[in-house]
Amino acid sequence: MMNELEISLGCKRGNPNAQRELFDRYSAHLMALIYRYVGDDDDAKDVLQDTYIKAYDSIDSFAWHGDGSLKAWLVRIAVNTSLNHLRSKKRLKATSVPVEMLGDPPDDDEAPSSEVNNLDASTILEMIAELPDGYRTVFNLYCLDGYSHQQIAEQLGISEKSSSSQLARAKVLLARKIKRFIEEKDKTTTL
Amino acid sequence: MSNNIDNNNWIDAIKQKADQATREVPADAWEAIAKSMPKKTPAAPKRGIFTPRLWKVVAAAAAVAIVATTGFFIIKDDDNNTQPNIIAKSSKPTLPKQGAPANNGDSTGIDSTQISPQVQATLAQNKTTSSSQTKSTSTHASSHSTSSVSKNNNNVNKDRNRIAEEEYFDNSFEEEMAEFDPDEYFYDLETMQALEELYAEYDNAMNQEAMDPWKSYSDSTYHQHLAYDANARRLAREKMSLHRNKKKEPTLLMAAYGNGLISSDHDATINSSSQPMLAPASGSNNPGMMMAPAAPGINNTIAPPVNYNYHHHMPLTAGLTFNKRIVGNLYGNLGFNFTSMTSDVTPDNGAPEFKQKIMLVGLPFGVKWNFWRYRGLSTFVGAEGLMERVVSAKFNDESVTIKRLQWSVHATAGLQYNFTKHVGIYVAPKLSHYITTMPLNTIRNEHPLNFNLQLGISIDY
Repeated sequence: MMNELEISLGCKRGNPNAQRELFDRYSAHLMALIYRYVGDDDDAKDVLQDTYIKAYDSIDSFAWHGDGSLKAWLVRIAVNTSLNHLRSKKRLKATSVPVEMLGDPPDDDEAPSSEVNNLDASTILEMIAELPDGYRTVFNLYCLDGYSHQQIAEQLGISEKSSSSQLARAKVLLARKIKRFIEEKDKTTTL
Repeated sequence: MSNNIDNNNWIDAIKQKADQATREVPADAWEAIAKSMPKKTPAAPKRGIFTPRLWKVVAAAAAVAIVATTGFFIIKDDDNNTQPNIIAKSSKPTLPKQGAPANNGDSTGIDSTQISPQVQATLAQNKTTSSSQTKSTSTHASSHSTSSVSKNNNNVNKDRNRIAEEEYFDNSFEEEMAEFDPDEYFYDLETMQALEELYAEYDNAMNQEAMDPWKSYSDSTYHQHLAYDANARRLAREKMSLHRNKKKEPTLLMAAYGNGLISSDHDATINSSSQPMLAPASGSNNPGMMMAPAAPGINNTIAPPVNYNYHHHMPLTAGLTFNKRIVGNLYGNLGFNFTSMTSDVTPDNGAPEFKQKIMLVGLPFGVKWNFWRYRGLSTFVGAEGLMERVVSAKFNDESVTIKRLQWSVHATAGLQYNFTKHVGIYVAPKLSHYITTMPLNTIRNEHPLNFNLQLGISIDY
């Protein structure tokens, strides 16, 4: 089994086995990541293909800095490709859920708690994918992929204040979804 | 656990889940990617101006050049070689053979009965040329430095011997003599006839079976004989040239060669061949003034002294130097270079100006210390030795063979900018001192210590 360094060197040499290994090892993880950005399986598949094609095409620019560096490099490509996909679909501009449409904000006591840990990963991904594009994107970038509001503002072409505002609303919506999901789950269990 | 919406614990839990999340990849995803993937040939390394492969080629070429240059110095430098290297050129069966004993003492071994009194007298004079050579060469160097005179004497003699050998084996002389039409002869016939007689007589003596020069001649005597003989040929050739051109200007030519002073007295037609080709005016304070030597006891009525004024052009040097890190910021360097020196020479007797051109190949070696570095910029100081050999020297149309090595030392301080890891450009003021001088007058002879500015490309590895 090849390690990351061997995979990267093999891809640089155009070795088909290394290219396939790169796909097999990280495609499922990247598919999940892309899905939570684009919110759609078909789109996620397209973006995944674009991601790998870009990766193979620019593998010469990759510099190995230790275990995990190849995966991190692929994740950056996947995120950027996802954002480009959303831009091309003009879905980033469409993030305009009025505050009044958010419904009542959750009470402090109603905020998600340790129940989150009882949810499986696919359920959480579905919930994130259901968020409006803009909210989802800011939430993914800030909370899950470690971007700052300044970086998000630069990436999405919005102000930092807007980024912060959309993040707050994304959290409200996601918390409400989690609460509802748990409540429905509890009802089902009771019945 | 707090349930506050701003509490990040639930976010961290989601992040942890998301990081571990996977999603099923459609089965045809890889095929789609493989089809869309550009057919990529094995990645070629980025190639800059100096890629590793080119480096090998450059390094190999440099090594060959350095070895060739070094070999040139080693092979051609016969300063310590007691065997003359003229045999390969020889086409005359009676000439000395390579590998024959070199020096058997100072005895000439010539059967004196076979040589005319004129030649005997000349040979006798040649046997004591060491003192006269010193004297005449001292005159040559007197305008520069008296201390350097004796040091240069041997080299001057060797250069002259070399010229004599080459002229002796120049078969074109016989052809010229065959074509020479005595009917055109209208000037100084007696001198010409005397030369021919002397030449024939001496040639006969050299061709005697009984005379084996290598068994009986010392190396110096052999060369003196050759010089004597070559001198006769040269004089004859000059005279022929003069008469063909109907020019009654023997002064310039004779003075330019600085050899073989002529008079109408047959007994003194040919003087000792130990005179240098050119000699500065005795007692002159102008280092650029050269004149034909005035040998003692010679009627110098035809070849009065001619002074030469020199205008030296800026020497041009091109070369390549490789620096190899020794330790820290200390580099050793080795390379090769070529130098061209041109001078305009003006005789003061009204003759046309002509050029003196000298080409040298050099082998620089030294050390360099980079004492400050900021990004690609660095400053350095260095010390360097330079060994050069003349590959071509021309005084007007006359080729001059100079076998003496030219040694010099240099101190430099400079600024370098590396635009790649190994290659950079530099500018470096340089202080140079030329230890040895040349038989021909050059800017280095006049200014052994000089200051110059170098611009170049440096290759560090």
